[in-house]
Order: sequence, then C-alpha cells, then structure tokens
Amino acid sequence: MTTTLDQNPLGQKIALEDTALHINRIHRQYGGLTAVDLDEIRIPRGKLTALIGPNGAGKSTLFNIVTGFDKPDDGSWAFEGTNLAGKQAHTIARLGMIRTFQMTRLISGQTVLENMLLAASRQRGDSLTRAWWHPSWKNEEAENTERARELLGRFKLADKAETDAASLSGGQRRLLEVARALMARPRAILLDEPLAGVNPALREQVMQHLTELRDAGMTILFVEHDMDAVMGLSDHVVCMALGKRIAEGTPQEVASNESVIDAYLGVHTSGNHRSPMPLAVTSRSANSKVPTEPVLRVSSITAGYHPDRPILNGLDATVSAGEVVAVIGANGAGKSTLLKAVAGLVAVGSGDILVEGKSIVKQEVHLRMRNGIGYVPQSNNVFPSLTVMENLRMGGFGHRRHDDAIARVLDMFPHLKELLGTPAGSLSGGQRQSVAMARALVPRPQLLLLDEPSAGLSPMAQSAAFATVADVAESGVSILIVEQNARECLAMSHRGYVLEQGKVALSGSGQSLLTDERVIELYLGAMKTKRANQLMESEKESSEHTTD
Amino acid sequence: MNNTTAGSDKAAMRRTDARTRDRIVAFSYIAGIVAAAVVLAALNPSGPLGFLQAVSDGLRLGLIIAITGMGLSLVFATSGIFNFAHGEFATLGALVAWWLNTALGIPLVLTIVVAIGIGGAAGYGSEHAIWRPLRRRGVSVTSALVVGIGLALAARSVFLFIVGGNSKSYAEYTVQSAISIGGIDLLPKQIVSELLCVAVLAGLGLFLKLTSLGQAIRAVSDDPILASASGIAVNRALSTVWIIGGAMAALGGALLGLFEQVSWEMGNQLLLLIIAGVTLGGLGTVAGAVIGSILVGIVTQVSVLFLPAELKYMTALALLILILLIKPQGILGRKQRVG
Amino acid sequence: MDFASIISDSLRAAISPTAAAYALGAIGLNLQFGYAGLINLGIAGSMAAGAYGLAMVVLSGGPFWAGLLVGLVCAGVFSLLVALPTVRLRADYLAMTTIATAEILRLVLRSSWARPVTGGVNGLQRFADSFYALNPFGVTSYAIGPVIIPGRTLWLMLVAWILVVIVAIGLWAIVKSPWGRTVIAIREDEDLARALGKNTFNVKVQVMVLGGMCTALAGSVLVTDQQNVNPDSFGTALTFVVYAIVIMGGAGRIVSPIVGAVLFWLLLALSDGILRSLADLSALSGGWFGQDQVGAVRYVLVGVSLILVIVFRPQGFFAGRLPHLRKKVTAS
Repeated sequence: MTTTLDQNPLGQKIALEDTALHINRIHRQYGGLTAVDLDEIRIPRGKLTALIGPNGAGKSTLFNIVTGFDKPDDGSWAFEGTNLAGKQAHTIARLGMIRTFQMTRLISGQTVLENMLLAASRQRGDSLTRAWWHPSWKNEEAENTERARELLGRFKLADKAETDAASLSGGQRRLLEVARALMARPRAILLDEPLAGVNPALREQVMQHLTELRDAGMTILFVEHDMDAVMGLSDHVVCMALGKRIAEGTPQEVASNESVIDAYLGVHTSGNHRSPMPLAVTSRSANSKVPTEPVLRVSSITAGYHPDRPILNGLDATVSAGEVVAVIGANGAGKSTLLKAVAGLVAVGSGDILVEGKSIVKQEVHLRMRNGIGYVPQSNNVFPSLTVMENLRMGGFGHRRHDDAIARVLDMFPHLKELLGTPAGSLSGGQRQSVAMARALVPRPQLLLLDEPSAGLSPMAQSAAFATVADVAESGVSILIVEQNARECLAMSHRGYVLEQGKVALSGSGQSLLTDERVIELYLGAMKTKRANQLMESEKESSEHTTD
Repeated sequence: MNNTTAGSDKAAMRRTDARTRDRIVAFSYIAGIVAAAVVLAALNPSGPLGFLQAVSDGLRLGLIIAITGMGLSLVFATSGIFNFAHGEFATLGALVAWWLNTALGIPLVLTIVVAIGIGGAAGYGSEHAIWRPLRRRGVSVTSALVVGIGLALAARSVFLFIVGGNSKSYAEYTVQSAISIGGIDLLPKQIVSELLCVAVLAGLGLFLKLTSLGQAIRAVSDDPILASASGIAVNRALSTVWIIGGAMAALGGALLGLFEQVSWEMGNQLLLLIIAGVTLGGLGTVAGAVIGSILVGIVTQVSVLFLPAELKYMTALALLILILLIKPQGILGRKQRVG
Repeated sequence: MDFASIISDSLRAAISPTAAAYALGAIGLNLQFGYAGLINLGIAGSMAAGAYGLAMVVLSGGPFWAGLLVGLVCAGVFSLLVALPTVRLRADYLAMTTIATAEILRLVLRSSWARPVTGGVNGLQRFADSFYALNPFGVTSYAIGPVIIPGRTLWLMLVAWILVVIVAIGLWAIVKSPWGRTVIAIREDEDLARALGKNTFNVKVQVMVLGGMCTALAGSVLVTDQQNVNPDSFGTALTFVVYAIVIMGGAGRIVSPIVGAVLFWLLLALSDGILRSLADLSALSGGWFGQDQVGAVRYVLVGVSLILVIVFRPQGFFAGRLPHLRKKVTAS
C-alpha cells in the first residue's frame, strides 16, 4: 500500500490520509485589505497544531471562515473528507468541528451544568415536537447530565456545577470551554487563544488537559500568543503574517525561522533609519518654562474594559518634553490599552495619570484633547464620509484661528494638499494614517499618542509613516508610540518600554533595547536558538557601524 | 519596489471599484423605480395626467415626511438610538399651531413658528431628561426601543387628555381654490409648504456641510469615539441634533395639519411613514432620508390610483418590508451589520 | 368616593376575561421577547389573525372550537410568514418590520375591499352565541368574595383562565427542555449556540410561530368577551400595552406575565376608579377633568411606568431574568 506523501511548498511532509483539516485555498478580502490569502495547508489529525502570527495576520479570520462564521471570497476546505465550503456554522459544528472564541463565551444567568448541557450533541429534546413530551428526552438528559458532571470533575470544576457561569474566573472559563467542547463529542477542537486571561496557576492545568486530549487522539488546532505555551505544547506550528502562511513545521523549525522573527519584531533595515534627535537640541525643551515636570507621568495604573478583568496591572511610565518613547510587547500585553487610558477611552481603576504635573484621570476625553494631548487610533482613525479638509477641521474643533493651524500642519504633510476635497473613506491606508496624524497635530498638542502607525501598511508606506513620525518629533512634540514593528520603532526612539501582562518588564534607551536579547524572549518565548543569536550578532554589528 | 507600488495601486483600484459598484447599485435602484413609474403612468386608470397629479400630491406628502423623519435619522446616526416616540414631536407641533390659532386667534404663520420653537425645546428636553441618562447607564438597543414605545404611549395619551379625541382643523387656509398648472391642480398652501420644506432641507444640508458644528455632527455620526478623541464635544453635537430634529418634526406636523386633520394620534400615523421613508433611503444619511421619504410619499399617493384610498399607507409599508429584506441599509445606505 | 365599589371593580377587572386574555398575550410575547430576545412589535397582528379566524369561521357556520383552531392556524401562518425573512435582522430592523406587517394586516382587515369577509371598518359581530349557549351558569350573577359576576362572564372567565393554565404549563414544559435551553442561548449569545451545533434560525422561527399562536388565543378571548371584532382595537397601542405587562411583570419567567397581567388590570381599574370619582367631583364644580380625560390618563400611567421600570428595575417587579436588557448600546 503506497502512502501518498505530498510535500507542501515549505518542505513539510504530512500524509493526505493523516490530515484532519485540509485547506485547499482560501482568499478573503475586505475592500482593499487582504485578510487571508492561503494556499494548501494540512492540519494533521490527532496532533496539537498551533497557529501563530502577529496582530492582523488573519488567524481569527481564518478560524471564522473555516468554522462557517465568515464567507471567503474564494476557496475550499474539507474536514475529514467532507467539503465544508458554503456550509453553515451549526452544520459544521455538527460535523464534529467545535470551536471556541477569542473572548470566552458563556451563557450568564445559567449554571455551569446548564452551560455544559447546551453543548451535548444530538439531543432529542432539541426538537420542538419532542420537547413537550418529557419522557421522550428524560433519559437522554439524565445521561448527558451524568457525562457533564464527569467531565466537570475531570476539569476540576465539579463543585461549580450549580453556580452561575458568570462567576467563574478567566482560567476557569477557559477550562469550561474545553469541557463544553468535549460534550459535543467533537472530532476536532479549534481553540481561539485558550490561555488568554488565564492566571499562571491554571495555565498549567489547561495545557495539561490539552496534552491529555491529544494523547487520547483528538485533533486540536489552537491560536495562541503565549509563545512558551506554543513551543511547549504543540507538535506542529503554522505561522501567518499579513494573511499568508510564512512558516510551517515543528516548533523549533518555526522559532528559528528568520521570517517569523521578522514578522513579530518588524524588519529593521539598518542604515535606513533616523536616530532620534538628541534631546538638548529640540526647540520645545529650550522654550519650555517647566522643564522639570515630565509631559506625561503614568503612575501605577490599573485599567481595563471590564472592572474585574484589568489589562494594565500597576503600570508606570513617563515621557519627558521632546522625547520619543516606544511601547512594545507581545499581543495582549496592554500597549494599546495604555494609550487609551491616557486618552480617556478606557476606565482607570486605580493609579494616576499626570500631564505636566496635573492629574487628568477624571477629565473627559474631549477636554484632554483640547488640553495638549493628541491621539491617533490604530484603526478607524479618520471620518470616512468627511473630506480630508473637514477631517483636519475636526482636529481644530473649538479652537479659533484653526485655518492657520491647518496650513501649518499641511506644510508638514504636503501630499495631503491635493487630497483636501476627497472623502477620507476612499483613501489608502497610508494616506489615512497621514490624515489622522495631521488632524491630531492641528491643535498643537504637547503629547502625541500614536497607536501602531504602521499597522496594515505596505512596507513602503511603513517607511513613510516612520519618517513622518520622526519629522513630527523634530518639531518638538513629545511622542508615545505603540508599535508592532518593534525594531524600527526602537531605532527612532529615545527610550522604550517593553510591556508584559500589563506591566513594564523592561525599559531603557531605544538603542539598548534594540540589541537586548531579552526583548526577543519576551516576544517569542525562551526560543533561544542559534539562529536567533546569530541575528542578534548581526544587529550589534550594524548598529555599531551607524552610530551618529 | 515594483511589487509594492503595484500592490497599492491595485488596492486603490479595488477601492474605486467598490465605490463605483455602490454608485451603480444605488443608481439601478432609482432607475428601476423610475421605470416602474413610467409603466404605471401609462397603465393607470386615470391616465397620465392623473398619474402626474398623484405624483404632485405625493411630493407634498413626501417632503413633509422628509422633514419630520430627518430627526429620527440623525438621532439614529449619531447616538445609535431608534426613537419610536419621534412621531410625537409632529403631533406636538400640529397641536400647538392649532391651539394658538383657534383658541387665541393668532395667525397660523406665527403659530407655526412658535410650534417650531416648542418642538426644538421638546427635543432638547427629551435628550437631557431621558436619553442622555439612559446612554450614560449603558442601556441596550432593546431597552432603548422599549423606552421609546413607553414615551410614545405616554405622550400620545397626554395629547388625548388635553385636546380630546376629535380631529380638528386650523382656523385659516382650510379652503383654497386650486391653481391649475399644466393640467395639475395645485393649492397655494401646497406650493408654500413644499417650498418651505425644500428651503429647510437645503438649509440643513448647508448647515451640515459648511458650519463646524454641522461637520462635527457628521463626524459624530461616522464615529463617536473618534470624534471625542479628536476634541469634539460629542454631547453638544447630540443636543444640537435633538433640537433640530424636534423642531423639524414639529414643523412637519404643523404643515401636515394644513392638508389633513389635526388630532392626537397624528404622530402615530406619521411614524410608520417616516420609518418607511428614512429606512428606504438609508438610515443615517440625509440625502437618503429625503429621497426615501419623497418616494414613500409618491408611492402612497400613486397607489390610490390602483387601490382603495384606505389602503394607501399599505403600499408604503410593503415597500419598507421589501427594502428591509433586500437591502436593509436602504438605497443610499452604507454596508453595516444589520443582522 | 365610594372605595368599596372601586375596590370590588378593581378586583373584578383583575380576574376578568380581559385580564386572562392579556395574560395569554403576555405569555406568548414573553416567549418571543423574554426568552428569545426577539423584539416583535407586531403581536397585535397575530392577535387579530386569531380573532378574525375565529369569528369568520363561526359566522360561516362552523362550530366554535373549529373557529378557535382556525384562529390558531391563521396566527401561526401569519407569524411564520413574518418570521421567515425577518428573524435574522438586528433588533431595530426586526422591530420596524414586525410593526409594519401588523399594521398592513390591520389595514387590509379594515378595508372595504375585504368587507365581505371581515366586515371592514365595522368588523364582525354575533359570533359568540354558540359559545355562550354552552354556559352552565345561566344569567344569574354569582358572588366571589366582594365581587359580583354575571353568569355569562363567569363562564368565559372559567374557560379563559383554564386556557391560561394549560398554555402556561405547556410552555413551562418546553422551556425546561433542551429546546428551551437553545432559546435562552439565542437570547444570550446566538453565535455560541451556532458554534455548538444549534440551528438558531429554525428555533427562532418556531418561537415566533408558537408565540403567535398564544396571542391568537388572547385575541379570541378578547373578542368573545366583547362579542365584537373591531380592526381598530388591534393597533400598535395593544402591542405596547402587552409589552408593558411583560416588562413590568418581569420577562423570562413563565409565571410573571400572568401575575403581570392581573396586577396590571388591577392597578388600571383602581386608578380608573379613583380618577372617575375625582372627575365626578370636579364636574360638580365645573372642572375640566372629565370622563374623556380619565381614559387618556390610564395610558399615560402605563407609558410612564414602562419607562420607569426599564430605567430603574429592568428585571421587572418579579426579578425575572432580563440580562439582554443590560448589554450596552453606544458610549456617550
């Protein structure tokens, strides 16, 4: 019997008959943005496969498409031989592919046990005609209840069976989601960030359970950002970036793959960057009357979208006049949340935020914007139905003489001059980025908050965006910049903070962080391989050559 | 290098393609309607002249619907709340105009002006007393709908309480002789009403396009969070929208009273028509609300040529259901999650 | 002010066939809105379908029970037709569509075109005779506590409240079942239900049809009590009152709509009685507060109470579960 061994383009060998989920080709576009653009991928049966990649790589979109929650523009995929394209989500679930979501989803107001029973597969009582007649589904319900209790016991949630599901902690919720998935008698489980929000104590439990499931023969595909978990758990890894697959193989192979490291930390073309201006020269600091007080001081803040699930856990940071400060870190570390907390878009639980010594924690968002802060969000950063000129005017709202201010800003962004009458919604990503930054600069802020200005941009547009940021910095504005492209960002910053789990894990000057090995660890886990070390060496050499 | 420029060019082309596609779709809807109109004009029992008369009457009704419904559309666009009680502003306007006119003998034109002012005040009042506190508490879409229902019920009953159940008429302009233009009968008050509506709508358009407060309102309807993050006082923009919406609806109700009976339940009758109008054209778009409302007005009047008069509102409602099933965002609406 | 008669009137209203009818309507709406989270603003339409179905069958010679069944079927079909294209829509659009379809139905029933069958504006009368022919209580009045009820009304009351109990038990049974779990899951997190293999579209349509059939019974009881089917009594005001009952009673429990309906009519009759007495007093002194005004005030109270309950106690008086009313809409 000959086994068909196909080699996929990256040289990995997975036999067709060992494939649980066979993706032929999937293409998904949102307007001008390519979300997913994949060729053949084979997810092996009975193994733990991790799907990794930086923000915006298309992982969640792929999950949604494969499980029927989103329609691709083109493509086909099959699960255990059954073609899934065009099938509805509930049909795919019934075929045995059970998924979880990025944010834990439970039915609040119902007990944990009831949540489990919801997932039981093929219940007779599901049909309306049989639901009336209790005896027809009584036995099955009893069996399901027993099975549910047994599963809950396995996951150490038995004592929570009768409590409201909403009362579970983050880690317990993730455990419940896995237990619930098992109630559905799946043939494959797709987990979206199963370790997100799980405290370290329960993390080991979740990972243990996944390993045991794999040992029992379950196919598991999971998205994760926790690189230590990925490396420790998975048998097979697929890495995506910008919608495409860029690496695939064993964890070690993928971790040492240069394009993977580049995808996470950004490409840093040495010799092409501009080092930040030395602080003493900037006109702002020469003119400022109170040079001693930092422009921004963040003092031990906790903040988050839900009061009981904080993302920032006692974070401290400062930005001095004229500085460019980078904020980098893995997904979920709290970078965007930090900016939003300063802007006022996220509730701050404890701690303080001071701008030039004055606390702004109680101030409304638009007042902060009028008192010296400018904020450029990552996405949704322009008003699509307003023209470029009108967008800029919104930056000057409430100020007098904003025509002068707008003219001044346009000098900094000359390519916008010919786009003034165009609706912002029809601009490219790079152009929108310019408009958003220009708008934030109209009221002459002291502090500019930039959330991933290079996100979603083509490499050329990214360079242009960074060049613009450098220009803005030279004009004396203090900048707090969050970036995925950590290297490029650090190269042009005076200082940087590396966040982990809502706290500052590392800080230092931009240059020192650029060559600090620990930064890679924080992103990609303790994946120190020879290759990564080699990269570090070449970095050190090039930066020595280009010192100003 | 070439790949990236080609890449961004392709992206730009796709964007233009999408925009052109949207325009073509909107255009084909309108073309389809025009074609249907031509067919109806030819086939209807009253002949082409009767058809044009119906269109003219429909225009009058449609413009009033547009003015009344604009506030509903703007409030939805800026605060995400669909206010089921919006029709009551119209009743308020009509009743104020009627009472001042008949009980105090003030000329109707002046009473209508007063009605507009009271409508604006009522809009401001309801925003501050009811809707802002609700938003601050974080109510769900469903709750907001139910609150609107409760408000409508209460307001309607207050009107019934104060003025009683009979329909009423103004003391002036009740009977006029029609002017005939090209075979179509036009009442002078109709011409005045239509011109007034057009002027108000044009004024609104200019306000939204040219003034900074108007632009801020458009910004808030695009993205309220970005608006506040740009320094816009979102609450002030919202208050303005409510004032404008209430005032315009009051004017619409008062104008409607020139052609139909004034009663405590005028708002209820209008409500469904304005829902049809603004949804047909695209909830949240000003141009859409105008086009949709005029269409609803015309369809309503034209249907009288084919169906018994008492069913004329039915065609408008049927049109609403149809558009909700085919393209819930309306003719000019942008793609947004509707399900 | 004659408190004794006000109180006895209020008690009578609380147990009247009208209260039972509204209880049936509220149970049906509770299934759609309280359990499944579907904001169906067109229940007046399914109530009308039930009522007209009954009357039309009886007037064309059929037995009363057949009329009831046909009414159920009519309402079921109406709800099905409305549900199929609309259950996938978002809350505001679902609300708009359902209110529009109910109004269309009412306009059609009311039209002169339909008069041969539906009686047009005047509606239908004298279809309840066969029902009252079965009345075992005769024409004498009976005393239940302080309340005096004529025999015919007592007969309808008995039948109506028995229906309420049967429907409530039936619904309680299916809500406890796995099907009911799916309905609640649809309200809380429909995507999760789909990810666990539930065909949420089918279930939502079933909920609309089932709820519609409950409201058909409500409509039948209402018109049998008044012995008159009138299209204008099935307008949006009726829907809104049933919503008030469901929300104030506390959606999401089987019993609360029943208690809500009883309390509602009790309070309404109470306030009516007090206000009427005040009106009489005021009329004596040439006042402005006449009998017309009394009718209007009741709805003002309903509307205001509804708003107050939503704002301050969204779970209703009986702490039913309405977590879907707690999700936020927009930030201000």
